[in-house]
Amino acid sequence: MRGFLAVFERELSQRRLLAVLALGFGAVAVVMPILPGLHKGGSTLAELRGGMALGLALLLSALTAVYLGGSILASDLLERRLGFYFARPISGWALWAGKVAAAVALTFGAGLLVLLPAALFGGDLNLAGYWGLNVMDSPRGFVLWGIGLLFLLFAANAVSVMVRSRSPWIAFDLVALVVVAAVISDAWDRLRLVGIVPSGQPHGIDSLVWLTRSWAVVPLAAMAAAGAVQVLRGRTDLRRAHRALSGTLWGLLLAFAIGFEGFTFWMVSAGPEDLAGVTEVVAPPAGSSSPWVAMEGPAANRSGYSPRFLYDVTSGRTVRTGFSSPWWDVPVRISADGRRAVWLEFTESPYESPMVLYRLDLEAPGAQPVATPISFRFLPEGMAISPDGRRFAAVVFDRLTVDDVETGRLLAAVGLPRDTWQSRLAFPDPGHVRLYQVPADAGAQAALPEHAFDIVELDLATGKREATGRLSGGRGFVVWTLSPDGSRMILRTGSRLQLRDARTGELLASLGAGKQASASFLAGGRIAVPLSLPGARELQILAPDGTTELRRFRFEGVRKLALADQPAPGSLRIATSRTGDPRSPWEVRLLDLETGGVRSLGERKLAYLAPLSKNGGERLSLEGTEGVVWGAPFSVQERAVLKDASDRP
Amino acid sequence: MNPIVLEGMTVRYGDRLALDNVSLAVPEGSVYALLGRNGSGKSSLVRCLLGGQKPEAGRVLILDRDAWTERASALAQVGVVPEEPDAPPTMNARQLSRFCSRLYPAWDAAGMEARLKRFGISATTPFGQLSKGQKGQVSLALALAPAPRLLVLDDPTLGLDAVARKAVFGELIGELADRGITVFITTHDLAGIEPIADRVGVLRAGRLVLDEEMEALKGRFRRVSFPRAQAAGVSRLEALAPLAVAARGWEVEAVVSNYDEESFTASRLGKAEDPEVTALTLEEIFIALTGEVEEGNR
Repeated sequence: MRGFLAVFERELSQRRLLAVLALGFGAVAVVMPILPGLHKGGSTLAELRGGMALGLALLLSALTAVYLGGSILASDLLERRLGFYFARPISGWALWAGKVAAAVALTFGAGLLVLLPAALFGGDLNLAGYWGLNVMDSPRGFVLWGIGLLFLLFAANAVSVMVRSRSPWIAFDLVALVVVAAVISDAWDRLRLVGIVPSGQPHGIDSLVWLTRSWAVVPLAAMAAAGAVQVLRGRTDLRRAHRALSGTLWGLLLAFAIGFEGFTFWMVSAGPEDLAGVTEVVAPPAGSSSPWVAMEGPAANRSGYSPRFLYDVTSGRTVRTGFSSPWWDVPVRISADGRRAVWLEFTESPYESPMVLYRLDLEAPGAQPVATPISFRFLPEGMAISPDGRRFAAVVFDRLTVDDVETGRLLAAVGLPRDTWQSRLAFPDPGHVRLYQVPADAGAQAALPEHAFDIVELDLATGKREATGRLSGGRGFVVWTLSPDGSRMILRTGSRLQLRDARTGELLASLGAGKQASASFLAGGRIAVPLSLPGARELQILAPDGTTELRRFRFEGVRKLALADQPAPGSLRIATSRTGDPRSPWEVRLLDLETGGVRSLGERKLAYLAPLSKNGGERLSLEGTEGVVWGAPFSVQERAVLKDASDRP
Repeated sequence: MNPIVLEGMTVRYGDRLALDNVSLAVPEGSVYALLGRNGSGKSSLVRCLLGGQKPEAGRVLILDRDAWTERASALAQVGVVPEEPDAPPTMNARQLSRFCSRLYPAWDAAGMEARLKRFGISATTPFGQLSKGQKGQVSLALALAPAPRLLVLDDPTLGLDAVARKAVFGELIGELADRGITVFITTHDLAGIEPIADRVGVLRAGRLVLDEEMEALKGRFRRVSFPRAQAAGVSRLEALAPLAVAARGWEVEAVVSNYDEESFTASRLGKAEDPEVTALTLEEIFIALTGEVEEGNR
């Protein structure tokens, strides 16, 4: 301690003129605003004094940090004066710490001394929002300022030692810098590509603020440690000091970079079973028998990463399909025939580079995601894939385009009225696109929960647009589902579940009331409506008009009922649970919609795609399961996708 | 306890061997003079001794502590005069004294002032404005002020004029007489060190070729001169371990390193007419040991 204090005091005393210089800067800040011609712009004298003092304090403290960092050790080494200290009973730690502490005190002290005259002579140092220095009115601002100064101090020491030693090790430094930068850049790019952007960056994720902090703290700590080792191991020899500094600095930074790379690999390696809950599930439209299901959710212990996957329940194959984030949520689209899935992904830099449409042919064994020639500079506000999966329609601002998915050929482009809101698209058939939009003249009502959509249909062959109707009377359209033939839609408006004409918006039938009411289209246009009764579940099969009941199945003692798939147009597979616990085995039944017959297919263990809960949810377990089951949002209805086709008649 | 112990110390700079397996011990209370030509490895040895450099192999103990790992605690009882005075140039002698007084348990500030007075150096002149001789004297004063058990001087008279050299050695002799501290000194001023050194070590190309008591060293080295006509007598010098033999006019001169009066008198050469035997100074011995002489003559 004696050595530390002796060195500390010695360094302060040697550079005491810095205090005079700082006070001189402070005096300039007090006097300058009085000079004629400088007191302009509507600022008060106090603001000018405060602003100038703060600016000069930042400038002087930064210059002091660079000057002291570059000289406090390197100059002594170069001029062979460090031997004086090493010939005394001063430990290397005390010498390093004493010199660094003095440099830190001088750097910060110089800045504070610049502020002193302004504080004494009426300067306004409360400068939130002034001259872009608004961060300086908070402790965080001072912390950032302090970290910045320490960074300059230690970096100046490292660079100074490297340059002044005139050693061939400078080549090693440059190579190490390139290697570290390359490793970090590579890891960084891969993280960004999956949407993991630490807080502080545009589109940053708050929970990853530690990553940003680590990038501020680790290089600082590495440079501080390297400086200490430089003194402890290099001692009085500049070249040896350089070797010690470089070895430590690059060793630590490389270790951190490799650790960061490892962290990145681990982050992006998350699979479906790493999900801490499922926030969205996209299944093939009812009536198809595709074994694929798209899911997304936050990865457990990988804060900020919400990967999406397409999962084939039959083969267990998983395909990553991008990510979601608070800034980016564009679910996978699966064509009505269940044969193709498409999604958007960034290929270079998330939120900045164009988004590319990817496709996966679900029925081709081992098919890989293919980047299509279709890309978007801005996120489309409405998207749809044609029932056959060959066409993709999107609305970007006031323009609707339809492209061929495989060739990227533009099939149609239509200008739309500006200032529309909530564009939704649907393909009633491959040759037509239907557009649901809140019109421009309803701008004021767009913000209201109740509003109407104009329905416009575009003929892709002729380019003809036709206004076909209006979807009104809704109160916050939450969920809507188009029938396989595109003629009708099931629409949830508030607590009502309605069947509407998809082309005209006309109300056809009421399918139920209550927030848990649900219904699904089946092949052939029929509608399945699950009903919840005391001690039983029923499944009502309605005719396409939504009013005529064709069949009703009752399942006593069943507490959950999940619609699965239709192996044939006249049959329907469902899964039922008597316990209500989705983790318990489900009984799979085959319903004959024509005869009303029910055949049990035995019990299956299904993977439960549990929603994310407040306590972190539960990890998804796919092993040993024969399908997946999840609760459809805003309803009591469960959905299931089952493995294998052996049950199919 | 020997205040300085070197065991198998090896220092290498790249491919060049600066010190090769050097071992020595400096007894308590002695004055050890380490001699060597430029580049012989003296500075490397002193750097390692003071913990400024870690030897590649071997062990360096100073006051029974490892010089590399326990440098700071060991140096609390060591005074050091470096080859190049390296105190901060803006500090004057008084400030230096004040700075150092905080580092040593016993600091004799008054003694330091008195020494500076004897040297005729102002205590308020910045170190950087002093002459080289004055810097050396301030360094010596700083080294002696903590009443050290061990004093390490790395060529303290290098570049000093005769008066300054005399002042340095005079101060050293006075200190030795007063306290009897152990001194380890490297120097090229052989005449200056000869009267006070108890033991001498000679480094040659990184190897310690001699490590001996001064008295014994001076006792066994002699210059023997005899007429050229008795040149055959050279072969009779073998027992005396001749280091160098040279013909000078009518005479032949040999430096022997194993002189023993009794043996010499008994030899036939000793019985010859006019054999002249003279003692050597330390400088002559040093030159004989390290000068450019053919290996075969050693």
